[in-house]
Amino acid sequence: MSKLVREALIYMGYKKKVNELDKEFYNEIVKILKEIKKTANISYITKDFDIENKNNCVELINSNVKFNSKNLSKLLKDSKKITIAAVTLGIQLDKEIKKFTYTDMSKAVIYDACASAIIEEKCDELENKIINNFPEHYLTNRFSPGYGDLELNNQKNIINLLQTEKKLGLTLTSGNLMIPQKSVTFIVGITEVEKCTSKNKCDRCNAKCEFRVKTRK
Amino acid sequence: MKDIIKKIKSEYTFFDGAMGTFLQKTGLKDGEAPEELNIIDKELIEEIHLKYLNAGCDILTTNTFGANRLKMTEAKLDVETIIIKAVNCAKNAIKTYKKTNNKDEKYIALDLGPIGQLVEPVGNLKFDDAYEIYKEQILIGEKAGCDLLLFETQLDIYELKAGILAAKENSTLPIFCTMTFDDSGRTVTGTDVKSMVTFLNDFGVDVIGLNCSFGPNEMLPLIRKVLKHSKLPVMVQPNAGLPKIQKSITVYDFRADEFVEIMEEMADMGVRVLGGCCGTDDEYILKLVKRIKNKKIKEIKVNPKTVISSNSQTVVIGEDIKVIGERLNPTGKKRLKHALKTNDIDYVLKEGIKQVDQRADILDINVGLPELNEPEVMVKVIKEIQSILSVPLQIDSANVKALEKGARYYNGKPLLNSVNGKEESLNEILPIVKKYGCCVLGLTLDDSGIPKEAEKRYEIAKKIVNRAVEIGIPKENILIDCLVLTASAQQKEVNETLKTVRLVKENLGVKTVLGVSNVSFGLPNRDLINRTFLAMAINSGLDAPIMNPGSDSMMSIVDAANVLLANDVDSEKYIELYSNIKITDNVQNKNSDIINKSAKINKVDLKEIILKGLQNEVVDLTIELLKEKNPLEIINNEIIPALDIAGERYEKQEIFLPQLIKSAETVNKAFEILKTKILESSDETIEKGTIVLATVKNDIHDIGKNIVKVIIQSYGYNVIDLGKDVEPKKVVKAMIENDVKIVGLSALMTTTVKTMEDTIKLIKKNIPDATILVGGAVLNKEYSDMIGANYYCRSAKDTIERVKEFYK
Repeated sequence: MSKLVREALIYMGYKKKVNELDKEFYNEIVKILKEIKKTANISYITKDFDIENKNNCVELINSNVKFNSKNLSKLLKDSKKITIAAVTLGIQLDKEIKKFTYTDMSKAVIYDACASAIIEEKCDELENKIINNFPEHYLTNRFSPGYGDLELNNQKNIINLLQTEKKLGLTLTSGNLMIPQKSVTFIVGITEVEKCTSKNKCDRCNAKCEFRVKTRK
Repeated sequence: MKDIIKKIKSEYTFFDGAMGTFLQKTGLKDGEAPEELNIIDKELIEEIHLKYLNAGCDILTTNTFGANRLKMTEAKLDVETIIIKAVNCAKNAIKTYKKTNNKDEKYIALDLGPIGQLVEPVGNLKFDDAYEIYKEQILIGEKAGCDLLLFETQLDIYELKAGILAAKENSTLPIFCTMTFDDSGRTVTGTDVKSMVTFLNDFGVDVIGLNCSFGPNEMLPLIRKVLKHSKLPVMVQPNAGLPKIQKSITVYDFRADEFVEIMEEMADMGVRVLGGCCGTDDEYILKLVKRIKNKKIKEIKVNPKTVISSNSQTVVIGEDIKVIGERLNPTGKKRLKHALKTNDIDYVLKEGIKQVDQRADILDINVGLPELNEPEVMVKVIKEIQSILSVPLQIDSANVKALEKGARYYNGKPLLNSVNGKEESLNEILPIVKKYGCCVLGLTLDDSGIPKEAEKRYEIAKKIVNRAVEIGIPKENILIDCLVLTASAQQKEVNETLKTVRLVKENLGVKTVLGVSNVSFGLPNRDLINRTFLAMAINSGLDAPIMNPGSDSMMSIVDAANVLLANDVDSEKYIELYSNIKITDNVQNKNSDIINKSAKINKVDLKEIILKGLQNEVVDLTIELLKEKNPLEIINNEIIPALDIAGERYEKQEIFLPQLIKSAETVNKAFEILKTKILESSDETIEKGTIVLATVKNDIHDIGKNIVKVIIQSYGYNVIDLGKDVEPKKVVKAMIENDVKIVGLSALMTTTVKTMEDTIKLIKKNIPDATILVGGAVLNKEYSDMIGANYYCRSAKDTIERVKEFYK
């Protein structure tokens, strides 16, 4: 649980160590993490595709979908297959968090951060499931629409390919944002080449982001 | 003449099976729109239709599942062409079939799948836009020659409501609706079977049921529930079992024989219309028809109940005493009046949440103030409440338009309050009740006012019930309010009210409602009169008191009555609620309570309470402090210094965001008391200035903005919160209308920084001297300068400094 607590704290802008935390606050976070895990309708879906990757374009075989992105193309340079995944914590959680913003804003903030931590954890778990389908292979980093030069409107293709509306209740707004809000879609390459294995996920990403955690050397 | 409804009433009727499964087998690629095949490979579509006709189905479903404006634009296809071609495919198949089987009547269902975007307030598609999207498909489909409309695989009951309204208002075709549930027994948007059936039962559709998501086995328990509550013929279209992935292709685990086995069980339970969904093909339908077609139909009779619903909760009135929360009615409530006038939706929502926490079963919503556009505000309040609460609502207005709009945009089946015995009221209100399938509350008054005698009031009730039934409103959807008069002014008539309740219950057999608290106006110790009257009224047959659920003594009467009337089986609920309560002498208890409170308060000061974020204590202490100091003194000498300390501690990372917010919320609780106090004596405000806040267009993440809001409010500034996904022009309009020159804009996504820039441009164009603050995870000083904002605020603390400076 403490890894999750730490993730949640990062989302709240807290940079101290978990053991320096006020006990009451720690307990509250743990309680909320448990609450979310119990009440959220956590669901996911994955689908595998063979790809053709050339000229900065990743084409999914047997579909009409292409991703035009230099960054994605580079990430998948050693992959012939990819898995596309969608994970969501469900619509009820959105409603809960919204309700707390009227009754207890402080709780809403903790809830929001905890939910973000949980969905990250679910994505990690899902990666482990995916890798089990491909013995003697490795996964590349996860990549999502909105990263680097992969435009956000590629969400439409992913939502369509995975039929997330029917299967997860996951849809897009006119601005291509996902509802439920605590949802993630990602593409991951299946490769025979071992990737950067730093345990700190931030080492694998180039974004300048306020949540970045430095690896202690 | 073709009459599908008549057919369903007298015999089993069969839909076809899956279309998509066939198309995938014949090489449809992932991501391609199956609807395009209506044009580029119509022979294939006709062939599939013909297979199903030969298998014996009565109704063909057009290949138009996603043929709506949003999805077709995405696929670069034209809605009209697709639908016309699709209907032609079905027609051609029927023509071919009839060459050899001329006597069979066949029907074409226009397939209407979900739009693909969620409707407000959960999503950002407008209800009216959803309506227009369906309307377009329906008009084209009817003209092209469809015989019925099939809303299927529906996931969101609110979107379905928009679709059904589009159908009812633009077409005369029969309406079939199926929704899709997951193994939790709810749709992905949270609707359970009972809420779905409650809403659809009286909404003017013809057939309802379930489809897709899982096989007949898993569907069985859910369909049992549908049959238990449905007043309409029931249909099912399950998948061919559960999906499994084999070599990247989805296959299903039920063979046709197994499928038919369970489908027969469903028919025996009372399902009248049968077909298949994903994974089924003509073999399934052939065997299905063969097995069931000549079976004797099973008639089912449903016991009519008075029930209302939201999208995810139903309340049955008449089984036990249900409490209708009265607090969201501005009559006599200055603070609520002020909130409604100043568009302070937060206060309204908090009052709603509070009543639900106090165990109200239904909330009455009344926004009747002369200076408000009542229909508009009613819709807004309903939508906002329904976005966070699942409790069903009673829409309360004397304004017909507000009732109509409320009923239209409400998510579920509401209770309308009210109709009365006046001709005008009957003529205007009852058609609304009928059209939207609501329950309605009838008041026993007419042109000559409220009759004194029970018998006359009863006559009015009877008239209302008869008139409603005459136009086709089921009797169970009518409730009667026998009207409570004040004991102080019309003492003798209190008993007439109780007598009317008995008459109505016994002779009309409809449920009764009373606005209980009216009885005690003008008398001391109102609660005593209220609760005594409540007990008497329950004994006379009252089903649902409109009252304040915050009154523990009245709630305890309801709880006890539910035990004594054997509504609370084995006193289970009662024991759960009261087993830990010690009974002591009430008066003494109260006195010692007060003594305890003031003793406690002396020990701590407001500053400390704020810093610790003790929201329960702050209310009492503020009330106490108001005895010695005026509100402004309290703000300047106690509150602001405490907030400054909290702010410093936050900057030094001694406390963190949740704690800072807790302090701010504690202050806001104190402000609530101060505001109410000030409103008692004048219409002045204690606010130091106003700021407009908005999360920009296309961005739906508003937690950051909400944090900033709480902090700004805690410093005594008024916030006009426009919410999320806000159009640039709406920001400008709010600033101009309220004469505010400072605005805070929030964006979380890189993609929405663009709409932030558009918003800034529009503000600058219309209000050149405006001060624009921006914030959000993706922003920094550089971006902020680039898009033309005045200040970049890294944190809520930054924002409050800028606001303070602005109003210095």
